[in-house]
Amino acid sequence: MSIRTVIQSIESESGFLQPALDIVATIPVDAQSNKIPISLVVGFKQEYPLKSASSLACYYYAIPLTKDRYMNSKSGGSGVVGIPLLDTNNDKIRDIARRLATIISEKFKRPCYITWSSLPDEDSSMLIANHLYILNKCLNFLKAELSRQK
Amino acid sequence: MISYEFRTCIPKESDICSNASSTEGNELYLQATHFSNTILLQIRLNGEMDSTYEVSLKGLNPLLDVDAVPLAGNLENTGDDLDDEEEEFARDHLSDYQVVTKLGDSTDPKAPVVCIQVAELYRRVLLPEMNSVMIQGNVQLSLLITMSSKIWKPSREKNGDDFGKLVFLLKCIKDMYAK
Repeated sequence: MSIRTVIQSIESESGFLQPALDIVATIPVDAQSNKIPISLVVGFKQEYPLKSASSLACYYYAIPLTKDRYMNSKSGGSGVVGIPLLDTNNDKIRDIARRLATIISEKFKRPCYITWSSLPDEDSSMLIANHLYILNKCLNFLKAELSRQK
Repeated sequence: MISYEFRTCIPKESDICSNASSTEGNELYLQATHFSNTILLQIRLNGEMDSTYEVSLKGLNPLLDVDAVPLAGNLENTGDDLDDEEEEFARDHLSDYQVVTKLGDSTDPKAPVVCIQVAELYRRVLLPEMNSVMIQGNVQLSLLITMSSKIWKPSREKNGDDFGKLVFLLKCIKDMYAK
């Protein structure tokens, strides 16, 4: 068994101020093997999960550069390259998917597939208002899950 | 979104092993997430996956169910009527779907065959079976497949039984939805 899938809803501590998130994460069991990608489906929580009303809005891929390539490359910033696999015309959605993929791939030093799933009546301004909150929650979730099992 | 998963070991004797270094059987892990506009299918070999394809139906396809793409491993409807009408309805099955390589080797001739077989399995077998879950009857099928290209790499000793692998993979996908 090299990977496992965790399905979870993350409720916010403050209740009504921040929305709850739905997460489907496929993560490596062995934290050492850095070839195994993390895959994450994130979206705001839907009230009736069985209706499957949410749609796949953006699918993004990121992978860390190897150490020597990173040293040779003149470009500053993170040692991660990424590309949208299924692009969206909504900049807010692409941005959250890109940043999630980049940060996760950089932090956990492995490839990463991010899916942002949108509710049918999703308000994009929710993404801006909760940008850092979403990043933070997803990172904490992955950190906890990856360290939980050895 | 609804998620399904399936985990199995690729049997050793069928020589599906592509990774010569590993001694134990290779682990095949399938995970599908269903959205209202698409299905995201991840096929991992030993946890790895490295290529992504987008599969969608092309055109109106009025003939799609009259003379359907033969599904690998499904021997029911082969050779029953190889009569004179055959050439009249000669169809290029590969042109029913559009397969776009998002990541990976876009010149791999095996990939579109695999993707179309998986898409046909969904369209003809799996989606009708779980129509109660899928709300719309007339699903505009679109599929995102992320998989490990190593599944289709020929192993060192033999040329590899690609058809056997394909049948095995289709069976696993079907098993994923079995209650």
